[in-house]
This record gives sequence, C-alpha cells and structure tokens, in this order.
Amino acid sequence: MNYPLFITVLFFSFLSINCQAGLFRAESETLNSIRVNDKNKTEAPTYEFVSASFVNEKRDFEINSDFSMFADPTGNASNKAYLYIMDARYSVVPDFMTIRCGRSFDVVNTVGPSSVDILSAEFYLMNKQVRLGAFVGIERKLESFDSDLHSNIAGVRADYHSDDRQPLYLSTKFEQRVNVSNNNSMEDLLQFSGKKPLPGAWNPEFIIDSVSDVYNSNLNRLEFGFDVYPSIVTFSKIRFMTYDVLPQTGIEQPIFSLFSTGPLYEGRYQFEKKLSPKFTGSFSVFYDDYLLVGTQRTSGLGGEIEGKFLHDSGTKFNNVVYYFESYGGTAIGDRIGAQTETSKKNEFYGLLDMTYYEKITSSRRGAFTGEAGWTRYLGQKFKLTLSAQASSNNVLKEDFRSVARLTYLLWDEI
Amino acid sequence: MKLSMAFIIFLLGFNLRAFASDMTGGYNHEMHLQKVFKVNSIECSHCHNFNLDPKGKEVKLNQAATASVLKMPLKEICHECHRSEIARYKDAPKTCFTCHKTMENIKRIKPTNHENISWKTTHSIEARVQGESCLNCHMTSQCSKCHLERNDIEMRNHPKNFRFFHSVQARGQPQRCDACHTKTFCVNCHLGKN
Repeated sequence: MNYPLFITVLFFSFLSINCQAGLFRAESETLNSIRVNDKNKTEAPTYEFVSASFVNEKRDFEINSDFSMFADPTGNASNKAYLYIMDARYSVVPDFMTIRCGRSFDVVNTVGPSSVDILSAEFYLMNKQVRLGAFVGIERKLESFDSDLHSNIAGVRADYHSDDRQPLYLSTKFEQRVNVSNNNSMEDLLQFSGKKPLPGAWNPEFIIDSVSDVYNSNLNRLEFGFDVYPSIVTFSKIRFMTYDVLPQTGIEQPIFSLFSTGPLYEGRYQFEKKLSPKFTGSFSVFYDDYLLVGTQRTSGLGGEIEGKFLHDSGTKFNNVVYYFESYGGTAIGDRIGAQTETSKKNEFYGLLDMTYYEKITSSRRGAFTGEAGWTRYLGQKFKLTLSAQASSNNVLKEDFRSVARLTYLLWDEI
Repeated sequence: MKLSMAFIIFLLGFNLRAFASDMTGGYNHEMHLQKVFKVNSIECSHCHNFNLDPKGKEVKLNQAATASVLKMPLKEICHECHRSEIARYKDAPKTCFTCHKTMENIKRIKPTNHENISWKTTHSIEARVQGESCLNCHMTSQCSKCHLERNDIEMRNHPKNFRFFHSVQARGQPQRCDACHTKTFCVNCHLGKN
C-alpha cells in the first residue's frame, strides 16, 4: 500500500470537505546520513518526517497529521513507515460538546501525555469553566520501528478553572489500562492536579500533580512546588517529587524499575535572572534519593549553570556547565554554542560539547563533540541545513559525520 | 524520496496567499461597523480619539488627544469584547487565534514562563495540570516533533555527549527516562538488538 500518499490524500480530503478560512501549518523534514557501520559496510539512513495541521477560524474543527518514512538506499535496511498522528476534532454542539477521533498525541484526556488511537467526547458547562470528558482508545508507544507496544485504555475526567485573572485550575482523571504488550497487566490510574497563581509580592504559582494506581494500591507519582517571580527579571522554581512505579505494570517494564526497587524522592531548585537585556543567567540543582535494593538507598545529584548572551551584532551565545553524580559515576562538562545570521538568507552555527566522565565500568576519559552548520533559506518556505560533526569518545576515537536536513515550513492563513 | 518530493510539490500546489503580519492586518473595519457597532449601538468615539457632545450632534477633539487615532492601546480595545465574558459580547470570538494568527503575533503573547531557560525540560507538569490551555496556541503536530518522532541520526532532546554519560544520570534520576522510553529502548543497544 502506498502508505504516505494515502495519508496525504486523506488529510487533504478532510481539509477540502471542510474548506474554510483557518490556520494551516505544515512541516516536512528530510534527514540523511552516510556512514560506515561496525561491519564495515556503508549505510545511508534517510528519514522523512511530515506533519500538518489545520484549525478553522471558529476553532471548532481541527485536523492534525504526522508521519515518518525510513529508507536506506544502500539496501542495508528495509523501508519502513509509521503514522504518529492522524486525528480530527469537531465541535458537534457549539460551546457544549466536542469529539475527537483518530491517532492522536493527547495531553488532555489521558493520564500523562500519550500517543493514542482515541475516540473522545468533551462537554462544557458553566461558560466552559467546567469540562467533562470520556474516552476509549489504544495507547501506543514506539521505541523502534520494529516494536509497537500498546495498551487498551478508557477513562473519564473533570476539569475546572475559575474565571479571574489569576485562575485556579483543578483537574481529576480516571483511566483504566490493560497493558496488552505486558501480559495484560492492569492499572487503574487516578490523577489529581491543580495550579493557583497568587497576586501580589513575588507572584507565587503553586502547582501539584499526583497519579495513583488504585488497582495495585500504589502512589505512582506526586509532584508539587511553586514558582516565584521576586522581580520582573528574576525567577525561581522549587519542586519536590516522589515517584514509584511497579515493575510488573506499565506498557512495558519501566526503566525506573531496572534501577530502583522502591520509592524515589527528589528535590529541585532553579534560579534565573535577566542580568541585562542581553544576558540571562540560570542556576539549577537536583538531588534524588531512592531504594536501590533491600534496605540500601542511593542518591543522585547534579546541576547546571547556564548563560545566554545576545551580542550587538545579533550573534547569540550560550554556555552550559553541567555536573552529574550517582553510583554510576560522575560526569562534568561544558556546552558552548553560537549562532549568527549573516544575512536574511544565511545562518551559521557552531557548538562544542566537552565532557569528562568516570564510570563504574572503570571508564575514565573525555568525550568531545564539535559541530558546525550552515542554514540557507531557499525561497519563503524551504530551509536547508548542512552540518559537519567531529567527535571523539570511548566508543570511537575519531568519528566524523555530516548531516543534511531539508525542512519545508509553512504557517499560514488559508 | 520521490514520494516526499511529490508531497512537497503537492503542498506547493496550494496557492496560499500571504497576509499582513501586522496585528491589524486581519481586522475588518467594515464588517465590525455593520455587524457589531451598529447592532450594539457602539459609537465611533468608543474607540477613536474624539468625543461626541451629549446630544451626539457635534464631534469634539479629545483634549488629551495624542498622535494616536485610538483612545486606548489597541490590545485593550480588542480585548474589551474578545476576552469579555459579558453576555452582550457573547458572540465575539474568544480564541486568541482570532487576531494572533501569524508566528510573529503569536510570539507577542508568549506566556512569561515559556521564556524561562528551563521551560523545555520542565513544562510537563504544566501540561498535565492544564493541557487544554497548551492547545490555545499550539497544534498537536508540534508536540510530536520532540515527543514522538524518532531517528538514529541525531538526538533531538539530549545534548551531543549525553550518550556517553547517560548511565550516570540514569542511575541518579531513573524516573526521567520513563517520561519517553521503556525497556525496549535500552535493550536495543545494550543487548545488541540494534
């Protein structure tokens, strides 16, 4: 079957049926690399990503699509394609009921964002301050083109937001999952979340989010904290989290349970200040503590210091110094990047990433990656980026790569 | 590749008209005059920088007149109806995208927290709490670029050297991997399946 062409025709069929004024966005990106693999054979993986969305003027009709194709002209891998999104949303009864169907990336109905084949209905009450929803679907997780993990899911939700300039947001969701790819393991997820900004000094914004698995009597996640703005140029974020997912649940065994056998506690802090109109500095730290095995706990800590600078010439610079430490070892590094626009049609960028690490595998050495690229705008909508990358690390002493990326970008009114 | 080129040519076939990037480019004064102002008895002086005498027969220049033809900032004039919950204005479209249509104009109303350096890595909790509000400006095909699309040529969501020290961070913050990956992702490389 001519899969991409079928999707394209389907998308534009929807669009032509509902041909109205609205906002249209399309993006096509082609990535290609030529490399020699570990069997000393040349391979040329080529990816094509195409996404498009349309929403009409009244915003009561919307369609989205996103798919990818993979090919290797050298014949070292078979051609593949995958559909990420192909969904439509329509307001059946204006200001009261909306339905959505198709393969979607959902941030509204499901507990946590997910890629899902969904049929959902949403109802609005009290001038849309209250929203009630229900859905059924199949959640999919794509880890490689050869695996398609999925769960059967169904759920309901209720959201409320107050009608003032510092609105209170409250949301609760219930989702039942049968993880088909994981021996039909069951989860009944219950989510409560809320957010409330307060006016006045420092303008604090409180936020909380919790997910419990009531079927397995487990608190999967609880995160809470607040953001404060001591001045118009200063920002600070504090977060606390506990996290614990069971190894036998989930669409597949969670990575967390490969390392941990019990609850994790995390604290994070970030401070950011716009020191001048052209320079912003940021500082962030985290500390994690979790159950490793038996009664033995372990911890991880790290942080970043980041600066962004805009030079009078229009060149942007950024620098990040980072540090991570765990029982897996330590890593310290520096990322430096610069980007300049030499004309309206040409951009150049360069970046360096230098890391020194010591790992429990006794590997002690540095990794270096340098990349330089040139972006050329072709006409109004095309963007061609050519880049060359050199790196040295514990896997390859010398590694040279070049990447060509052709992007077609369209964001327009029709 | 031929297919992707065909698709691009197909897209170009849509002769999409360019439109003014200025905020007022999409404002239709005549339509507002006929369907909004006359129907609701809204006088010109409600927005424009002059006054009518009490009998409504004489136009008087506003003593506080400036160079602007408008009495208030444009934003306040538009939002008076388009962000109001008053029943009188219930028919006025309330979505931001009614006026903020271009990339340039959407960026003007970019929320303050989006400017924070850490926004890209910490927006998940906001999306969990009020995911609906993301869709006021964003389309779901924008989320998929980082959240769903996968390739083995370049890492989009990690720094360049991350691959070489990810074991250190994964043992320090194992919950972060769960946000996007499952065990298969580890197995593909560590057990040599890919």
